[in-house]
Amino acid sequence: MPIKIRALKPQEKTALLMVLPAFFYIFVFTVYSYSQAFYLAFVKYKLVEPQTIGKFIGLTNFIDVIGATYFKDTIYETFIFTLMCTVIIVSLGIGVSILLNEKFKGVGLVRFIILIPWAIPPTAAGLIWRLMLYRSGWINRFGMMLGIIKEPIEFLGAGRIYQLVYALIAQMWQQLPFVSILLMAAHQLIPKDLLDAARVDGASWIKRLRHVTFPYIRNVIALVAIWEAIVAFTSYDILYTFSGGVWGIITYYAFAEGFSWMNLGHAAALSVIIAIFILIMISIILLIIPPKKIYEYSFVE
Amino acid sequence: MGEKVSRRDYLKVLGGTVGGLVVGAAIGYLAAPGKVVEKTVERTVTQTITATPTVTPTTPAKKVHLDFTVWNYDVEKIKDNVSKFMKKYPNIEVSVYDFNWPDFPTTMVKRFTVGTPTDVTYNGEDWLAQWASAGWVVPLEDLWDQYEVEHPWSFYINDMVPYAKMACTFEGKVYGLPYYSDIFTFIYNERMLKEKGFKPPKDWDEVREQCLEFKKDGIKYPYLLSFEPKDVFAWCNVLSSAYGRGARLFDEKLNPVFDEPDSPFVEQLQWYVDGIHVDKIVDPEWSTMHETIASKKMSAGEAVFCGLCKYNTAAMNTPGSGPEAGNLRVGLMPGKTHEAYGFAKMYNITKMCVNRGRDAVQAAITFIEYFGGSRGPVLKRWAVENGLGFGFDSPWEDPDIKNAMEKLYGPGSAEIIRQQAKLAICEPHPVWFGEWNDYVRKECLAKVFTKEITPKECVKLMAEKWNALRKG
Amino acid sequence: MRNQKIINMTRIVIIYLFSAILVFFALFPIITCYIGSITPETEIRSEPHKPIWVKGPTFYYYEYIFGAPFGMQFTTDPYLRYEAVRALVFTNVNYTLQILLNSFIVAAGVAFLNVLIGGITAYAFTRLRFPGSTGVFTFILLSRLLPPIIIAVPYYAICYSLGITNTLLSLLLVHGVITLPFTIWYLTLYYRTIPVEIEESALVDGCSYFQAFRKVAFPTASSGLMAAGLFSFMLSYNDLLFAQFLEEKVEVTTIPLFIAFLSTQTDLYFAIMYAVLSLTFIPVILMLIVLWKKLNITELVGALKM
Repeated sequence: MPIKIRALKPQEKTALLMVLPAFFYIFVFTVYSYSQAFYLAFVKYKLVEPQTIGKFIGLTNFIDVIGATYFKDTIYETFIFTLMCTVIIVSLGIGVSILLNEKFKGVGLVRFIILIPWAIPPTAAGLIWRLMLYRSGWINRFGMMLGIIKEPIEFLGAGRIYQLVYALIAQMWQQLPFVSILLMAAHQLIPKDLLDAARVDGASWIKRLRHVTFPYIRNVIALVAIWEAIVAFTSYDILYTFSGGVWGIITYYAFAEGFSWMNLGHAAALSVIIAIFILIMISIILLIIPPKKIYEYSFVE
Repeated sequence: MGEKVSRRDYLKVLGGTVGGLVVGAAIGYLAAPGKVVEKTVERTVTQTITATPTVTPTTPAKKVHLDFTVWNYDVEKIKDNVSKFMKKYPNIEVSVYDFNWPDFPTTMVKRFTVGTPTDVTYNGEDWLAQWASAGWVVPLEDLWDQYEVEHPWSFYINDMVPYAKMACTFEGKVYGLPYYSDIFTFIYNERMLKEKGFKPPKDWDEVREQCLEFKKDGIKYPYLLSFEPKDVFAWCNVLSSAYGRGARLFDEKLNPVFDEPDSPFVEQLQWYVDGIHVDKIVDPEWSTMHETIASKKMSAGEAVFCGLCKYNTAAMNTPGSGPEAGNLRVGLMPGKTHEAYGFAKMYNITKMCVNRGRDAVQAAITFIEYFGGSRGPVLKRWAVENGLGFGFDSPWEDPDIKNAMEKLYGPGSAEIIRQQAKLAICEPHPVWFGEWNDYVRKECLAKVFTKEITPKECVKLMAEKWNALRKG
Repeated sequence: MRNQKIINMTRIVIIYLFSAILVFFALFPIITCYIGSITPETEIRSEPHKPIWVKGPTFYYYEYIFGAPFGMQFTTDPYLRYEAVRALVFTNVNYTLQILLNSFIVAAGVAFLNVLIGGITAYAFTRLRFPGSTGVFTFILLSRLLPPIIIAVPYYAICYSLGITNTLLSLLLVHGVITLPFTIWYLTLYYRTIPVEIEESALVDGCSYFQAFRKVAFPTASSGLMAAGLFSFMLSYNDLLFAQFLEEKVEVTTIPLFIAFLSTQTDLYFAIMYAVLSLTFIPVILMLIVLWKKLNITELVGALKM
């Protein structure tokens, strides 16, 4: 398709000037950074061997990382964590959003209060929950005070899978408000007359939910689910402080390779692998919501 | 639902991604920022200053500035020592930079890579090989006798305890003076043992029996295992207890021997696992137990035995720290050979300092002798005030030090400690040891004690990682 | 009729019950921080069945945090190991106030950057047509899709070769890149909800396109701009990944990095951790209050109507 080159109208000139700073800023950053990431992934870059920095070694970094003793377990844990997070958070979110949609005295306050956990840094959330799980921590204290438990439970001495479940609770504590509020807002955008018509027709609450509400918010639920999956997959800070810097899911090892073990080549390779996983997840969105719709929705005036 | 994405579109995207990767790598290579470190670092371990040493006064004629990096143990005392040093040598100005202990190695590696001025630094046996092979620190052995010093190098070398010397050595050269050297020892409550008519246990079976007896008396968990995976030192006491059985990590050719069938290392791990889960004599709070907490529990009389670094005994025995203060003793490590894990922390001179010239190195050497020498005031101060161990044998002859130690560690303790020091070992830490240590702590041992993997599987993982790192 | 009333009553009871559970679940951990920060350390570490305020609450830890920059020393506390006082126990806590300020400065800078640049750029996409607008917009959105970790490693390499590691500027720049695409996308949609008539009349009156934007659209969109600004503030305030890669010196640490540092310490007082956490929440909660009061959530989400 031949590109028509012509003089710019004054409107276009202004527009270009307004857009250029942001575009340039983002362009330089992302293109340069991504290219560097790809470069680092293919060279040897160990800070403790300064004599060999920059040597091209092909796919060795990738092979090292995938063959590393931690990789298999971490991938397994990451997927379990992502799956559990998405399923639990989205299903609970739907329930909570129904609750929040009701009009009762104090609903505004409830909506505000539950947003507080979402607003604090995930780093802080991880630490709070870790402190709650110590033997002398609040869960044991509260439980013993109420008489629910007789002996303090040793949460942090349990295996990795248990720790993941506890971390999941922390993640849920943080993400649930956001998800619920989004779904609640989606609820409120359903045309009122449809709901009223259904009520007048005598449909019960559950039937209304299934046949009127759900088709409308289906897309939003799908989007939210994918968003939560990506957030869980790349979650880093909350697990870092929750484990005290000892373990995490795959993003933790990208950091550990780079900064505990001073091998930036490995770190970059692992980042590329993570990016590939994310791209796969995004292509799954595109299966559910066709890209054409996203374009339309963004550009149509 | 709308048009589906066709297969051709997916192939296009895939092709685009791969193409993007290749193009990206090419751009990255061309646009790579200039390397910070010169590629052609000609580092020969036997680098010596070739000029014939002229006698320079110990106090340099003009003011010299030194940058000193430490980790944050008792920084107030470090700074106090430094100001006393500066009073004695008014022409040497020292700036102290302290970093938090868990991040110290990575912070220092970045510091060296960037080239931030550093002249004298704390160093530990686990990172010496790494920093030395990268050329960031230089052997003190090569420099010492070419400068004005109070005592020649041979004086210090012959005084060093074997394990401390091993800890300060890389490729046959001694890199630093061990101002602080210690052993991971076996600590027990003497009063409680005497009450039951027990003698200090000679091997781990006896420990177990005594623990079971104490359990009957109502002490819930008589043995404290402090293994908080966050802490770099975490598994040293586990290793130390294995050394008591005669375990070794590797042989002279650096091949792992801990994974051989029936190795004492595996036996010791099994002892702990059984203690936590079967006999329940080991405190299940091990994963959040750090030496501070363990010390408090020992002083409070909540436990009878533990394996901790020796200086903790001093803290436990300090009057006022608990009802059992004064009753804690260091015992010989139970097991066949009674060996233990010894380590040393030393002062190193950096290559950056050497590059600055004679004056800087002279100042640094004066500094190191004051701070790390066996007759220096700083070593004595750490020993007397904090009860810290030292890597030389002669300080025991100093009555001040001997009395201070006996006050903190109990009457008659000097003998036991000296004996344990002679029986302590420090296997050479190769270049990759820090990374291996990190991995072992977090991924292998943490999982053994929670019973996610068996001790045999654990050592298999450890050996795998060792061999992988060894290859390069 | 009576059946209906019973159903209504049960419905209301269930709603209030679940709301109470929800509120409790949300607030309990936060409140534990505030309680923990005024509890003496020996009690916090004691066995769970023992009471925590044996002698009442103590504000000593807050006193230290606020007094340390002015030279106050941490001394009398029964938990401290007698004599062998370990500096590890409260390292760098004396920098807490400075760290809070650092975080605030970076986040405010990022918010300002977003509102300014994002506000301008989004307007161009919404109202003005220019060749390549689709491509540029797609590019800006796509740049956000890949995980930030892939930028972190090379950005660190670039920063230390430029010598700007350990500055707040490097952090601000990278946070800007992360937050800008979302801001632009959101504001694009938000501008669309503003009727175009006022601007058209301004243009008829002789304003240039940019003046129409500056005098009409920008002020009118203040609500959405504020939302975008606050979101980017929160995103920057909460970031750990980049702060961890870029900052080492304690003077340029930000709050999430500091909290991560506290969590890796083995010897640190729990009470001090709680105190630091409690101080961290305050700006966040204030922002949330502002966000909540000034903006109507449904209206904002409505702008995202699918």
